[in-house]
Parts: sequence; C-alpha cells; structure tokens
Amino acid sequence: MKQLFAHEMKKIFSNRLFLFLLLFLLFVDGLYIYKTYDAYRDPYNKDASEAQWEIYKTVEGEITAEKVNALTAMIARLEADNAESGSGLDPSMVGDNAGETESGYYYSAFWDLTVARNLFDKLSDAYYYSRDMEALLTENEALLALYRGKGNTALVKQAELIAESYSGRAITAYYDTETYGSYFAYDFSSFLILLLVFLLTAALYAGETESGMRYLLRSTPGGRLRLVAAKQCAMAVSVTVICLLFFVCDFLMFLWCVRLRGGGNPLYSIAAFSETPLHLSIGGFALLLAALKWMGFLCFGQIGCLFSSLFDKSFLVFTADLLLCFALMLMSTYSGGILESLNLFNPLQLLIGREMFYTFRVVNLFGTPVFRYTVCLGCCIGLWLLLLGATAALNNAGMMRRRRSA
Amino acid sequence: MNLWREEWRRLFLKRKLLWVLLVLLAVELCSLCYSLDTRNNMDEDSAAVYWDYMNRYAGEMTNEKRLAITQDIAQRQEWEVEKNVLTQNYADGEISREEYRSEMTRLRELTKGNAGFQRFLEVYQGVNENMPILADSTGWDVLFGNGGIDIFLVLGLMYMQLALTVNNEELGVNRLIFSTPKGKRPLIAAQLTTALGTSFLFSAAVYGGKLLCAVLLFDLSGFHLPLRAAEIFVQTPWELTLGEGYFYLSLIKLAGALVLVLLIGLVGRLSRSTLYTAFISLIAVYIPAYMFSDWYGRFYLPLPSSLLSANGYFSALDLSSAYPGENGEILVRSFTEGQLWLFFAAVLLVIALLYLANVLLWTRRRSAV
Repeated sequence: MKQLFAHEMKKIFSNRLFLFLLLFLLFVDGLYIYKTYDAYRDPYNKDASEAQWEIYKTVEGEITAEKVNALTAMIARLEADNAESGSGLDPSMVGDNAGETESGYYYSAFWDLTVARNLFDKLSDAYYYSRDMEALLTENEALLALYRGKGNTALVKQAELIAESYSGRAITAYYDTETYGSYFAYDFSSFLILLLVFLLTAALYAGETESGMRYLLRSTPGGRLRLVAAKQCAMAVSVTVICLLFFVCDFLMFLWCVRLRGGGNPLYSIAAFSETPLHLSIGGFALLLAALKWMGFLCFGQIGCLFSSLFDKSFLVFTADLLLCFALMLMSTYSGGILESLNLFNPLQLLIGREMFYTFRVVNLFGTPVFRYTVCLGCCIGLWLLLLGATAALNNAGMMRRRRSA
Repeated sequence: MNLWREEWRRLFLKRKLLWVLLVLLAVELCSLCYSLDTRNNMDEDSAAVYWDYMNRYAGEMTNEKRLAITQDIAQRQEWEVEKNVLTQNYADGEISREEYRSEMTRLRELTKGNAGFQRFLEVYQGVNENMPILADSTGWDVLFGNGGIDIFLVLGLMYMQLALTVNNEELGVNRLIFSTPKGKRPLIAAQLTTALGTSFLFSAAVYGGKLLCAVLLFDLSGFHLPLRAAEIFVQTPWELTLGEGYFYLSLIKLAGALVLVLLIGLVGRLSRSTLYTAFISLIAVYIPAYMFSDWYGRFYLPLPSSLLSANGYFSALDLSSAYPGENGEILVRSFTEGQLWLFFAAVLLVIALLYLANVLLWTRRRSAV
C-alpha cells in the first residue's frame, strides 16, 4: 500500500508540466495580489497611504482616554487650519506645505482632517461596540420572555443561543483590521487551486483507461481497493500540498503589500463581521477559513475522482468538472426555497465560507437551532464520504467496462 | 480533396462533434434568451409603464416631445405631493379613514409602475446632441455584453481542435499516418484548414444565432440607431450604427476564435496531451482577461482574450477604456479607424504566421521515445 501511494505521488509530482503549471499559477497569484493590493506603486496612493499611516499610528493599540483626547485635539486643530486655508486638494501645494501638515505627507489640512475624522468614527464604533451589543442583548431578553410565554421552544433556544453568542463582547484595542477583510474576501487563488485540482484528478483514473492500463491493473492482487485507496490518499495529500502553497503565498503577499494589523483582535472588530456569532480572533478565523477551503477543495477533488472513474477521456472529465463548477456557482447565487437547502451540500459554500459567518444564521434541525456553517460543513463532509464510497465502489466493481471498438 | 473530406467526416460523424457544437450553441442561446428576458428587471406594472412611454416618445427627439415629457414628470411629481399631503391630513385627523383610503387608492393607481417611469427617464436623460434619438437599447446592451468571453464558444473551439489534431498525437496515431505517402504536410494542412473552417462556422453560428434569437424572440430592432444608443458605447467616438457595430465586433471575435484555435494546435503539439492542452488554453484565455481587465494596452496585442472580448476596440465604457479627465469628466481610450484597420491586418498576418508555425511544428521530425 505504501509503495502504491508513493508511486501515485511520484506520478503526480514528477510530471514536469504539472509542476511548471503549479509554479506558474503561484506566480500569477502573487502578481495579482501585488497588482491589486499594493498601495505603494501609485505615487498618489503612496502619499495618501503614508499620511493615513502617520495619523493612524497615534491611535493604534489599546483604546485609552489619552489617545481619544489627542485625536479630538488634532481634529480641532485641523478644523481651525482648514477654516483658515480653505478646503480642497491642491497638488501644486506639495513640497511647500507638505511638512506643515499633521501627517507630514500630504497636500493640505483638508486631507489630514478627513483621515482624522474617519479614524475617530472607527474608534468610536470600536469603543461603543459593547454598548451596541448590550442593547441587542436587552432586546433579545425581551423576545426570549415573549417566546417563553408563547411556548415556542425552537425560538426560545434560538434566543438563548443569541444571548450566549453575543454576551461579554468588547473591543478594547483598535487596529485597522479592514486589510484582513480584503484578505478574507480574496478569491482569485481559490479559482486557481480549483483548476489545479481538476487537472490533478482528471487523469487519476481516466488516464489509465485511456492508456489501456486499467484492465491490466485490475487483474493484479493490489489492483482494486488497495489501488483506489492509494490514489485517494495521493489525491488528498496533493490537494493539501497545493492548498498549503497557495495559502502561504497569499498570506505572505498580503503581509508584504498591505499592512495586516491586529491579528489578535476579535473577529467582530472587522466591520463586515460585526454581527458574527463566532468568538475567535482574526488569526484564528484565518486558520478556520483555510480549513474550510481545504475541505471544499477535497470535495471538488472527490467529484473529479468520481468523474474520472465514470468517463474514458481525461479531457471529458476536466470539461465535466468545469461545467459542474459553473452550475454550482449559479446555484450558490440563488437563495430561497429548495435551493437554500441544496446549497448546504454545495462545496462552493466552503470556498466562499466567510459569508456564512457575517451574521447569525441558523438552521432548525429537529427543533434545535444549529449554525448554518456547522450544518454546511457536516453536509459537505457527508458528501465527500459518499463520493469516496461511490468512487471506491465503481472501481472495485466486478463489471468490466465495455471496450470501444477502435 | 479526399483528405479534406475525410477530416470533415471524421470530425462530425465519428467524433460526434456536430452534436457537441449544437448542444453548446443551444446553451449559449438559452443563456442569451434568459438575459434578454430579465434585462429590465421590473415588475409587470413597471414594464407596462416603461413600454407605454417608449412607444409614445421613441424616435427623434422634438421640442413637442420634450414638452410632453416635462409635463408628465411634473404630473407624476404632483401626484406624489398629493399622496404626502393626503397622508398628513389623515394623520392630523382632517379627513376620515374612508376618504383617505379611496383617495389613496386612486393616487396609487395613477402612480403605479413608477420604477418603469424612472427607467424611462434614465433613457431619456441619455438623449443629447450626439445621440438625439430616444430608443430602448437594453436588448443591444445584453447582446454586446460587458466585454466577457463566451465560455461555451471557447469550450466548443477547444473540443474541436483537440479532437482533430491533439488526440491523434496523444494516441500515437500520427506516427503511423505520417509514414504514409499523403502523411505530414497535406494531412496537417487538411486538418488545420478543417479546424479553421469549423471554427469560423461555429463562431458565426454563435454570433449570428444570438442576433437572430434576439430579433425573432424579443423583437430586437433599431439596427439603424447610432452605436451610442447602447449604454456601454455611450462615449464612443465611432460613427457607426448598432447593426454595423455588432457586425464589426463579431468579425473581430471571429478572428479571435481563429487565433485561439491555432494557438491550441501549437500547445497541443508541444504538450501531446489533450488534458494539458485544454488546461493551458483555458488559463491563456481567461487569466489575462481577468488580471488585466483594467489595462487598455491588451487591446493592442492580438491575444485571444482581447479579441474575443472585443468591446474595447470601439471604446466601451468599462474598466480598461474609461479614465477620468482633468475636470473630472469621463473619457474613453479609442482606436481610430486607420489604427483599427491596421490592427486587423496585423491580426490576419498573425493568423497566417500561426498557421505556418503549426504546419512546421506538426511536421517536424520527432525525437525517439
């Protein structure tokens, strides 16, 4: 079995063209992140970005009264300066007045004032987050009493889950976590990994059918279930390696191109995740998201293996994988009705997994509210096991495929 | 001629390519029909109001029409004000519930389908000295698309070329065939010409079929209207009609299909694998389109991704063509007529060179296995 597994791994990774394509797509991924997210190439953005950074540095970290007062005083100074000098951006003022601005970088007091005001708003949102949550919980308490009064046990459980999820929340430190928001929303590498997974799995079984080796292999002692097990393990390990390479590449490129700050802050400090029921840090969520994506890619890999067992030609397998992916993408854009339930089995939901964590979404399972992401993950794991079983059964079956006449 | 006939027969009968292409064509047309059917995205009442106004005021804009539209706008605003006043009076207890209900029902009946009226106003506001005709061009907007590449067209072209040339190479059949008297150059020429002919026909069927579908099933009209009537070409400096614009764009896309097919042939010869050829072809088409969607320079290169999207050649209002002017206005980058003809001649030259490269590469002596 070990030898079979080693042989299958060698077949995949000794293919120079495959390795070249893997490295090429890693390069393309890195280039895309650099092109899209690097704020320093454009001189206009560079100055604006540096100006923001200088002012942001004064408030980063634990929220204290001193920082708030300093920022308030800065805003008052900038408002006074702005009233004197007039508003508006004037590129011709660069050089003469750049050193006199608060940030030391930009054209006029107006830009610094805008930045400072935005920062103050975000700081306020962070500071008052716990108060907003308290208000939500108070409302929830009232609803809980109502549901108890009406005897609606399902809604009672849901309200209790809300109370448990959102209690004790506070944002005690402010960091610019929106860059993590961009990192979580980055999907281009998922598209590339998906293509590589389809390429990898297309020839796994169909390649042997095409070359006529299939019948020979099936007649050997280790040619059925042991071979299938070796191939499946090789597929899983290969998908894991590819995912790891891309995840590390993405993280390093984002670290280089944008300032990823506040990885230790709670996830709900990111604006898009302010209503998330998760109690995780941003770094912890990044790992969770990576794990979900890995599961999604494994599901797609298994789909590829099943198609590879069904079709004779690897090109047809690849095309079928693409068309199915397209259909699943269409399915995931629609919601409501039966599609809402079918989408729980859609592995694409795991690839865009961040959307399941934006708000409190539960599925009512026999009167118990279960988080939608948990149900989706469970369904996809079930789907993966089912596909695995189907692939093994297909390849282990006693029926010989009818030969096509040449 | 026997070789050519044999290649056509092999492709369409033995490989069942005809069925595959028909299915892909059908899917492409269904996708278009769905987009055309849902293009205005309005409820029934709004759609009725929109088409009512369109039928009344479509055509060359005159002062009488402008006056009538202005009066209609004023009338609708008056009804909205009446609704607000009525609600306030009811809240203040000045009118009874029955009076409020009956009057509000009357006003709601008059102002129903407001979304359709707003949509009509958007189209009306696009009428100016460069575009003096009021017309519904949403059908044309769907037909021109947003500069995307038709995936089913690409799949059809890929399948056809793989079945014709690369499959033989992968199976090792070429070694046998090339040893025959009529092997090598005559065979490769026949295969490549068959590939080019089939690509041309399939692409023409796709773009012609889309136009026919739109005309027959969705009453698409206005072929004589200026190209600027289409929302995506509102800033184009080209003095073409919608019909001419669609024809020239289809021609450019046809050229793109031929370039793609020849490139697939080259890649297939080098990789000797249908799977890897398909993979490389797909990433070669889609990754440049995705990564450089905001770079107009790609339209100066004869790449399949830029030729198959094509809208940029006539200055579509999209990421790559549009840029802000000094006074904040939106300008578009553009090919001049001379530049476009020169570019098209260059594309034809590239097609000829790729054809030659394919013939030379496919007939080159292979190294021993």
